[in-house]
Amino acid sequence: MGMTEDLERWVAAGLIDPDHARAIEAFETGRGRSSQVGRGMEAVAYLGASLVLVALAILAMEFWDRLEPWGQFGLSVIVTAVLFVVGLILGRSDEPAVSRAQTFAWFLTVAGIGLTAQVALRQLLDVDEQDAWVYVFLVSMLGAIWLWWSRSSVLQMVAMGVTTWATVISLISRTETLPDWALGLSFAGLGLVWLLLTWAGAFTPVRTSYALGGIGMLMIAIPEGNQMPWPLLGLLVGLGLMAASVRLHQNVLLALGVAGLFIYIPMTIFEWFGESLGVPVALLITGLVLLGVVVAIIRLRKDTQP
Amino acid sequence: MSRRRLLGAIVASVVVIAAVVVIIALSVIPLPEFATLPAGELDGSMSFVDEENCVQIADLSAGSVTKLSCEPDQGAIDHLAWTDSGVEITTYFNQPITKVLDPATGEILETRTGDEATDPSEAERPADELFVNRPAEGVIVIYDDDDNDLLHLEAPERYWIETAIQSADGRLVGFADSTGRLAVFEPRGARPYLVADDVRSWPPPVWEP
Repeated sequence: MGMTEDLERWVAAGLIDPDHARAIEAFETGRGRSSQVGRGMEAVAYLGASLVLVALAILAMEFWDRLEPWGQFGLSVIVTAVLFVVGLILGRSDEPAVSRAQTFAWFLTVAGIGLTAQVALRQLLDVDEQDAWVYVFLVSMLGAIWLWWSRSSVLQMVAMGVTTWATVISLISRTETLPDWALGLSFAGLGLVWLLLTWAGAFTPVRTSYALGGIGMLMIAIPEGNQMPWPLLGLLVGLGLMAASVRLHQNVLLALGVAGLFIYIPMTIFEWFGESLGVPVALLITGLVLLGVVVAIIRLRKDTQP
Repeated sequence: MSRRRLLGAIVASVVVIAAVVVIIALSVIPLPEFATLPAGELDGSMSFVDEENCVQIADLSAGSVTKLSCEPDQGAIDHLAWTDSGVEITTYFNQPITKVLDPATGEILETRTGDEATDPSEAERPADELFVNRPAEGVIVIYDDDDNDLLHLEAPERYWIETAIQSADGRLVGFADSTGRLAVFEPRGARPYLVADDVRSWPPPVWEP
């Protein structure tokens, strides 16, 4: 059954009115007609562009050290500006595949901003290395936020997430007076903020944003490893993500929650019971818990179906 | 996007960030503090490499620190020794270059290159290096060869003593920590004194023979 027949049935059933049906049909047919580049061709184009960029980067590295600091700064400014302008031009194209390439160019622009800041701070201003990294990530984060604000695509969201977490890591790493778990707690706090802002509709694309927030929260126990109570907190985060996936109907949170349980249940078992429980028993408990949780989620989902 | 939901999320986010900051702020353990070394308190000299790739000499009896020589264009100083011939430094830039410096003036007394130079990759850790351990959370201890505690420091989790070196006569211990400070103390009970605060932990500081 085609789209037109579907729309006619939905109009007849009173689900949408004829104006909506005409708008949907115009949008879908218009989108199909304008895309002249297949997904396979697009992937090959990205591969080619990546190879060209890697080759240029290797060539640049050969003479990079021989450049004066001002030369390095000038070159990184030019590369960053070119990537940004290329993205700007690509984004104006009517061809969806070409327009999508804007996000790739702007993703690289964030790296260019970081490189430019690094050269300026370390080579020109002679800022201390640890301080410089904080500013490099901070400037990159601001650039990534601006580009995401201009076009909220998956790659722009990833760039914004990576630079935000990197800023937090660089800030905490330079402070010797903080315990290691401060890093895990910051990851989780930032992850929770990310999830809240995504839930409120402030962060898009939604799935990528939920994924970043969930990964951040699951990192809560990574710096402290097996030391209690961190694996237990990781376990609770995993369960929390699974519960949130039911409420929000987000499979990406479900997958991350399962991954969290898969990591933190064995860690908790080994920390509490040590060598007294063998690996097979630990795996059995992990498997049973996972199966139990999945059954519970299926039942909960049925209950929350509208 | 519901305006009310967004407002709620922003308020909740601010609360989460504030809670994380407060918890982390309450967990801060200050770095160990060292008093400045007064002139005439201790007797001995140490050599060390600073963050700018310069060799410095700390004269403890005078309470002074002076730059002996800098190697800005020869690669990082990878090896430092103080022998009867002078202060020996080795840099590696295409090939190893060892220079022996007059500890009083910084004058180059001898230069060795290639096979004649000390190979930094084959240089062993100093024989007079002491053992450092963290027996409990928040405590760092320097031990001698007989497992005697020479120094107890209360310190945060990430603070570490990179190298602790005993002087030839065993009367003093100097150590470089993870914050780039060089401190010296008399074993068993005495407080460490700060000598310098821009010290590279590698190569380890060395005592005058």
